[in-house]
Amino acid sequence: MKANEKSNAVTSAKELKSEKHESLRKFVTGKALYLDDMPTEAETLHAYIGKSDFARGTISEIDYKDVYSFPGVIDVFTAKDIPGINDISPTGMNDEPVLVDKEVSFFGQPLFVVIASTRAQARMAASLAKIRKEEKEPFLDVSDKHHKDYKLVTEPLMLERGNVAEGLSESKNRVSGNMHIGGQDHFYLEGHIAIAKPEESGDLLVLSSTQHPSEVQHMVAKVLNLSSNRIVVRVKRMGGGFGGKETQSNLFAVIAAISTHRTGKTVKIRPDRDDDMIMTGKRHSFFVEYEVGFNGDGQIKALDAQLSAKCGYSSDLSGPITDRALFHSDNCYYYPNVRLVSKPVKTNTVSNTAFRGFGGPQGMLLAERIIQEIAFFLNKDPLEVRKINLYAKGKRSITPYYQKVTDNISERIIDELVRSSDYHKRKKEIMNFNTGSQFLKRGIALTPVKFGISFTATWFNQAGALVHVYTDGSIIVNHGGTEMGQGLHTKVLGIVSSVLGVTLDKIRISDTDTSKIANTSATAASSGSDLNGMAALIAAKKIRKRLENFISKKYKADKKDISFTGNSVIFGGQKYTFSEIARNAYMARVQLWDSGFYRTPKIHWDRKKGKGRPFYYFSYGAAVSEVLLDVLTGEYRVKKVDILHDVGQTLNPTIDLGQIEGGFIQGMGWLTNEELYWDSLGILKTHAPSTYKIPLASDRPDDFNIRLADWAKNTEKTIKRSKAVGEPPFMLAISVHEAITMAVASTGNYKINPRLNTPATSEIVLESIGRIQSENLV
Amino acid sequence: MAKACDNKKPHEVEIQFYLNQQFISISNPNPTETLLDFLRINLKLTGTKEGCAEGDCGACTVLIGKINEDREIVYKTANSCIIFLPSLAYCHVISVEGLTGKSGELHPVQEAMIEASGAQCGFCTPGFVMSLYGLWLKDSKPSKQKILDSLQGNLCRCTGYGPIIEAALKVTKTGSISRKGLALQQRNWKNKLIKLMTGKEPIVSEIPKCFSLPRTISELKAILSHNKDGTIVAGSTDIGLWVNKTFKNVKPMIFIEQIDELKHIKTQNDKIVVGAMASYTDLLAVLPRYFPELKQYIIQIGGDQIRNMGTIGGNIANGSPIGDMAPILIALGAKMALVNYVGSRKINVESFFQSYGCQDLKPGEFIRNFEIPLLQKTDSKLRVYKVAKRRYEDITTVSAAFYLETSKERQPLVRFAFGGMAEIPKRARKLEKVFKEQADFLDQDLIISEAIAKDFNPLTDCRGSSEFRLKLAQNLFKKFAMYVNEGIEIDIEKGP
Repeated sequence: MKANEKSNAVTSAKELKSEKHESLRKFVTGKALYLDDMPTEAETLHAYIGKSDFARGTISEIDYKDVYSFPGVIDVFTAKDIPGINDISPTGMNDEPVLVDKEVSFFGQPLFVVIASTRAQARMAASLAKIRKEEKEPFLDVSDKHHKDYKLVTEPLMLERGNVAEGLSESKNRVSGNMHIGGQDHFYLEGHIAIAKPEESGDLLVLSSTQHPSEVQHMVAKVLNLSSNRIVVRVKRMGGGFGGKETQSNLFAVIAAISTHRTGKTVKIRPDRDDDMIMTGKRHSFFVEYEVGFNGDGQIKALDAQLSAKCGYSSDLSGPITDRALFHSDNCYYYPNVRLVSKPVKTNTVSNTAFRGFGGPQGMLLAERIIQEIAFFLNKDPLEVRKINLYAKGKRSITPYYQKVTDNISERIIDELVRSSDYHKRKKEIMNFNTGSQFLKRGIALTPVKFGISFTATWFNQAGALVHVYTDGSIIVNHGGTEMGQGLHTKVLGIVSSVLGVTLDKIRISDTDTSKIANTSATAASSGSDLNGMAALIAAKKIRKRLENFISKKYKADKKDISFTGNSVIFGGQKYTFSEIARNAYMARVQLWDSGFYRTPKIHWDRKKGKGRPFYYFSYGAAVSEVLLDVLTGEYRVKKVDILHDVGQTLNPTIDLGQIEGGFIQGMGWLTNEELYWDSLGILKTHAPSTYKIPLASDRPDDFNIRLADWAKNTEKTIKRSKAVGEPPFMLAISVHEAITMAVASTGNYKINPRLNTPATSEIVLESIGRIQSENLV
Repeated sequence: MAKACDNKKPHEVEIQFYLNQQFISISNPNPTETLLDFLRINLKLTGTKEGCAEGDCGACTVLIGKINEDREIVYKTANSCIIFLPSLAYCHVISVEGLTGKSGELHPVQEAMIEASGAQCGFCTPGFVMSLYGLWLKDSKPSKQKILDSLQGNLCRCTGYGPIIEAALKVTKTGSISRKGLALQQRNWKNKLIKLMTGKEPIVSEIPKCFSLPRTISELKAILSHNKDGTIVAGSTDIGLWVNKTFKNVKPMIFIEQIDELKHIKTQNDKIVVGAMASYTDLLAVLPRYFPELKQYIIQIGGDQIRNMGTIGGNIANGSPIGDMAPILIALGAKMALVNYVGSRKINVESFFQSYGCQDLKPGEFIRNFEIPLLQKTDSKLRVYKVAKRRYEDITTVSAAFYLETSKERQPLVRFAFGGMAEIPKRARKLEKVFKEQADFLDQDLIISEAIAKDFNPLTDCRGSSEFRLKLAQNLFKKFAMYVNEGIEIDIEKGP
């Protein structure tokens, strides 16, 4: 497609043949089963968590009298009743107890568990414990570095290249500043849930809404003091994950497992939405401080920045998340001299966790703030500053972590988008409009994305798959990835279908199951189809090769002439159905099932030295957003968005476009309306959709165009040269934040950088407009 | 009280309704059992999902068909997570399972959702399908704006909504179920429901039991005379949360859903009389005819489901400091009729709100209706504003209703009322005074801002700081002043 052709998501999707999500029919009829829909035995019991009603302090006594005497209550257990190790820290830091009985570190911390005949009884009873405690003042503010309670949850990271001090002092211009970046609740529509079922001799089957079945398996084994082979964890699908079910599902799964272990019955646990939001981690809020040196053109000479993250009371994944924030503090820009330091700060709040982008968005927001600082300082269009600082060839291709950017397409993406969105003309028109309009202002911005693909924990970059061809020609595929709506199963089906020439109705993906594929990685880091798709491809190819050998031997066919297509196998002018070939191969004792194993090549990372190649490749994209702002109320509407995004050679345009649009809107929510609010006692006040506002259909831009950069190819040998798509588009929404910034800045004739913190709620916007007006008077 | 509810004898009560094709009769239901739990737990109909249990996410959306005053059946979307079983008496409930034909054929909205790939994780999907179905029943060729309005009560975290909107626009092009066929079905259901209602005794308990279901105002009066501390349940959009989220004991409950007299909206000479049970959807159908500015305001209240369920009476009776309709009623100088078994009285809506959580409502008393004076054609002006963190389906941060009646002979009559600025919805008396006395100085921001700052000392909470609220109040008045003086309207919905 030519760059100047107007297009949108819908037409682009139609041009390419694209399989729809495999479960769509089940979704629209309500027949898709989520965990809470699964039939369970009539005598299934229900567990519920009793949680702390204060943020920090010591429990002197808990009176359970009313809990025990509540109708239907069967059992209550506490920390001391845990048979194995009372810890579910995902990184082995030993800092995340399942239940606490003494020291409370955050509001909503699990203290005890009630098991009752019905969920309503368990839930009600769990609210009846009387907790006697001595409260201490919670530590909440990560920018308060000199506070006596300021501590880190895990080892910080420093990335350093060149000489920052020299670079800054040699710079013609220097600007320093800071920014508060808000967190975000996942708000998966299906909340956390787990069911544990007793098997013989104390073995357990655990059904969990988790992105990481293997970790759930290991955690259950650990808290029950059983070996891993006695626990099977199974996942059909999740009603959304977004990172919120990477580690946070451990808590609910182990509680269901302990409950089953104690009662010998099937036990289900499903927290209420409010408890889900109070008890589980979120995207980290950050406080970033920076100083940037640059020359008269706006080219950056040096950057010195510190990124403090509100990690909550334990480490969870805060180490790798703050690492990834540093890895993305460059976004698409080359810093000749750079020092980036992470501060994973401990606070008396729920332990924050993975969320789409995994620290990357916060780092990238810093990079774009730097660009804005320079642009306002020099009175230039930020786009101009962006372009002059893009990674280039040679020396200007080295990241702060010494990986070379060799697949850079950011300039082409930006240039094409500038043309297709008519950026310059619209910008001019908007500036004119703003001159003549006092109370309504418009803003436009283009921001790019470069996102590193691979788990930075290098060992996670492996996956397995099983492909079974049955004698009737039908196929079951099982792989280590989980389906949470992202369409991973659909993509894997498409891959197997194309290798064996079998239509999708003949292939089924069975539940993710730790007894089928062992030692799986979390379905996370956008890597689901890169890893599991490749494993499935390898397995399917092995079977195809065996079938080819069989055919060439039995039918004396030339292997090169054999084609698998449309449920048929064609060779030498003959056509057999796939099922005939499968049947015949079986009769000839040919193995019709196989496994595939894949590990990402080339990557390595030395965290101590801050050097390596943590990423196999980068994904690119850019977005232009336009907003209309009401200067009197701080309200705004996103009017128009144009996106050009790189997924390499797409595996499935419908799925990819869905990820781009959904990711963008979720990112927009993060930067605009989604505000997490803790009061001074450390109590989360935004714990339900009544108070926590994710975007609605009516918040979607009036005019929204998404195009795939269909000329882009992955330079690495990924599955069909595709690229990962889950996380990168999330950060395209930074363009909305900058468009708001520009609209606000127009109230001061673009002389003052509004320095909008995020989320840029109406309150933040109005406060910034007030600041600009008072500075302008001075 | 709870004990009385456990008694099965001597007074058996039955709640009867239709669910999809099935007749449902429940003896002595627990009146706080929700439709969602009944569907999922009792009937194992798990297509309808629980996303929040507070009527905000729409995953539990069902359609409820009721016989209206004109003896027609009207289907509306509702949040099954906050509907209690007694509210369903003589209704036809359609859940997502009821949408698919006997041999699995899909409804056009389902086909369109597949065609447009309107689902990713699929958890919110049945709710969206039901909202789109509700829209399809009303309007088979909806505009994009209508689609957006209809989807305000449904959250999706995966798709970004584009494919769902596309599906809604496509509905008419797909599918085989004709609207004509549907009309026949509806007549069938109408007859069934009318038959079900006919000859049924109202459910009235002489002693405080778990619930009553009166059909007339006089029955309601009689019930309240014996149950002075009973909880009156109208749309249950508030009470549903008290039960689901705070475990509050609300028994005995008096469900007033069946009292048609309380739903009337009638114009009488110079005023419009709105029954306490009129829903926001009912208001939306009538009020904008007389007050065009209310249309956008009411659309900013809740989502479609909540607007179908929530009532003006409930909104006022529960005395929220941000109660959406209160500032409007106060600014318009509306009165309300309060009734109990001995008599009735009429008061200004303004004086109903006494202090935080304390309303001028005596035990055994209920709101019968509101009288809203119509605007004088030439010399009166009304402007209403609602600002929240999210523009739609959000709790108000600050709302304002400004009413101005100018006259050559006398000082102007003004009523400037705010929500979210004090512990109750309240008029800005100092602002009104300054405005009346110094009408010429209208453009002097400072005087106005100072007056508002003297009127209010708003609180800081998760919806906004005290300073922000004050600034909003000042700026909203500025908008009104600009409208009055220069005829300028600042509105991002309308655009530049």
